Amino acid sequence: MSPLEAVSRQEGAEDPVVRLSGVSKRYGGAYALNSVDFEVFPGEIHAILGENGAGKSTLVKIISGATPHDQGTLWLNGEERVFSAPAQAADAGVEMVYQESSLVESMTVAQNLFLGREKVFNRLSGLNILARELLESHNFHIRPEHAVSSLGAAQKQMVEIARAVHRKAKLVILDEPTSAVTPEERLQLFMSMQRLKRDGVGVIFISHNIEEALTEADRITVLRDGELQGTLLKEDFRRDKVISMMVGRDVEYARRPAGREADPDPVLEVEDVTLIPLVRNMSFSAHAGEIVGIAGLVGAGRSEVAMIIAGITKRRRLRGGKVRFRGREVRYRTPRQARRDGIVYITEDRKVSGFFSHLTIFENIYLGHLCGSKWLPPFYSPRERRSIGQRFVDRFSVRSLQPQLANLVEISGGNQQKVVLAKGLTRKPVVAIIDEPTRGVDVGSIEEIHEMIRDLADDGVAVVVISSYLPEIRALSDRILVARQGHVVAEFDPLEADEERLMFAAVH
Amino acid sequence: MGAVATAPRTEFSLRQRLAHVEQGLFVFGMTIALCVVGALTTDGFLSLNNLSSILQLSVTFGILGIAAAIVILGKGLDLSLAAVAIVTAQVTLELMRRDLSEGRAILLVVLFALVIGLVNGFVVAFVEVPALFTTLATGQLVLGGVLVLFLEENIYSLPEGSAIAVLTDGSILGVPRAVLVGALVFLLGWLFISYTSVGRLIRAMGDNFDTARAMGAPVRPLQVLTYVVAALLAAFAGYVMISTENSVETTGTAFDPLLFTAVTVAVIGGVSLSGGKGTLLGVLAGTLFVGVLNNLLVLHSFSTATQDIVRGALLLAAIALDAWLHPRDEETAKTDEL
Repeated sequence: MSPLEAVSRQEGAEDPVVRLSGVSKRYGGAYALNSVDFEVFPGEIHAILGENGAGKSTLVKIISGATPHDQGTLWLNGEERVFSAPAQAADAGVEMVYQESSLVESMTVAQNLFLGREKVFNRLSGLNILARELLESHNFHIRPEHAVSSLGAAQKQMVEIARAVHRKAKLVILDEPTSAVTPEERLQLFMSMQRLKRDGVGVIFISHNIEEALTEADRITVLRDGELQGTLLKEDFRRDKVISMMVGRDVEYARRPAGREADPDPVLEVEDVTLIPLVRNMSFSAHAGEIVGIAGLVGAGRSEVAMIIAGITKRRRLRGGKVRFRGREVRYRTPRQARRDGIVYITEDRKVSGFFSHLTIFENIYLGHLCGSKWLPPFYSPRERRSIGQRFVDRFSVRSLQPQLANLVEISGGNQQKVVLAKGLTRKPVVAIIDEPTRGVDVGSIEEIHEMIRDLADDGVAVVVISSYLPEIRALSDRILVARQGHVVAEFDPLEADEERLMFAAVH
Repeated sequence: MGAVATAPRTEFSLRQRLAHVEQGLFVFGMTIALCVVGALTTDGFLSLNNLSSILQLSVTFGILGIAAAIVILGKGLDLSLAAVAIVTAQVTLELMRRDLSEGRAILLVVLFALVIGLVNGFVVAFVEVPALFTTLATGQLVLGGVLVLFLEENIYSLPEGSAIAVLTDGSILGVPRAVLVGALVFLLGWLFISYTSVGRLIRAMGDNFDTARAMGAPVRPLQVLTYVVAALLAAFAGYVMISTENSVETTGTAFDPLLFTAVTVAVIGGVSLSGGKGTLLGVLAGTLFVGVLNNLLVLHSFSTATQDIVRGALLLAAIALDAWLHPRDEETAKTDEL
């Protein structure tokens, strides 16, 4: 595995706030977390780094009680625990600060701070005074009487931090705290983290951003594919080391060269598209017969642009820019319009919007086929369902004992993903935008899905692959674009781009 | 797949096993059990006359149940169905009393039902008001508005020789015509849900609205369609009702039991309020169950208040069972299905 071994900190007599030993979590057949050791001491800021799907969220979910672990041991304050509900972890002093705030938007800051801890008779003014003291003691410039809905992302997180302190938290977990904040707010957040540290609170801080972790953390733990890559002490912090721990992989996917030349004229052109709040002046184009890979971190605005192109997002969020399809400017109001023109978007979140979980494999594929036609045919033919279903189950190698009867909830993630692809691709599209094609998919299926995507391009489809998984981007793309903070910042030839260079472009 | 250290859970909870039982069959079983109870505790339950009247009286709310099921399958809800059924019957008779020909009266009223369906669908699908409130409001609006603006009698009877009477008049080959009409509607409903692409997409939309929309299904028109079809079926149920009962009252007593049955029949039959699950066979089973139950309550001459309590408890039990079997909370659903 990694050349680095987990290093234990010499902290004298002090016991860790939380310690995990050999903790594993499986979803279906795949390990989201495989035998991970991890600990946080009081007064320590511990950063967890890793790419998407590395297991960062699973790790903190286990600590914060959102999901129980399958194997291994978790000690909190020296006591062995298995949490089955977040409330249990909160009682034990673990407070989670989520990206999406858990505050009640319609209430004031003060009300939120003391929510659930009010006295039977409580006066608003008294509450406000207490809240002001609490906030000022942290140097948070937030008015307690303001409604939470009027606050920015960072201010909401500050309120949550203040609340955690008020509840005498021993461990505060911050999930990507800086992903949607301004530079000044970022500084304020870091100051409050340092203050928590001074108060002897353990802080876990999840991030994509290597720089932040390097400057702010006392230790960094790197996860990859659910495996612990090692824990670094402050004196070992080096950017290149961290990056190679994050991306270095044993697997290298076979690269199949394009079977044809890309058309000279683009089918799809995206020009200076701006969307609130994530996308600023995003531009790129796609040609028939090629695969354009868009790399980047989560939150770089890639999916958002794809969903605007495909008519899924409400177009009133568009704040400028143009999308041209075959030279004609388009602004689809519904996905149906885009689908009729031959633009297919394959979602990154198949559970939410990829398939029908209580319908069979054949039915999922056939319904997708029906919706791809210009006009819905009046009758639904079980015979056609079987023939089309079988054809695409074979072509996309969906493995299931009974594709006629098996519901989508009953098959593995890899097979679900193949069904989602089949469902969108029964009719040859003009443009296929495939978002995270192999997220949560088993290794065997990844290669198969890559083959299918290449077949699609060779068949003359303009394919756009959005992926945060660099080996995938490198194996698939004919052109690699890197997006950062809402626009495309770099373009690479796939033969020249190595993962370090791509990662560097995505981060800086 | 890597080595699996712990054995995967192979034991299924009672809930997981129950969730896989075809609810229609289960309810058929309960109906038979109820029949046994009826035969043991009352005289005359098993008489051909009584059984045939159970079937005939069940047709009205069976049709309403099918209407409710179509909407619920698409993850909607329509509480205005009973009001539409009642008002359809009342207004048609009032129009006929005002010397409009029967054909014109029916045409006008069916158009009215169509408009109600369109309004429901539009408000739910395009204005995005929750279906519960929308249809509760339109139902009350229709019921109250018609009563105040339009109706002049407390009770309307079907005139002699009316075409509506023919719907349920007599029997063919020994089967009451009302039952045949019910069977026909059931058959058409089943064909609609199972063998038209629109019907299939309605179910898919109920299963996962976002998926249906993203793959290019015309979700909003589909939503509107479910409410329109339901309103038209409800109007038809109204005609079946006056045809079997020969009259309709304009006071609340005619309305309450119908409001109860439309949704209950569907939910008892296994059409889950979480959308996308259930079959019309289940609705049929639910219809028979409620029909037999109503009959037993009458045979035992329970007071109307007691009947209400029994029905209310039944609805609550059915909805609670549904919520237990098909939890709407995503996280619970996921951990259960792994």
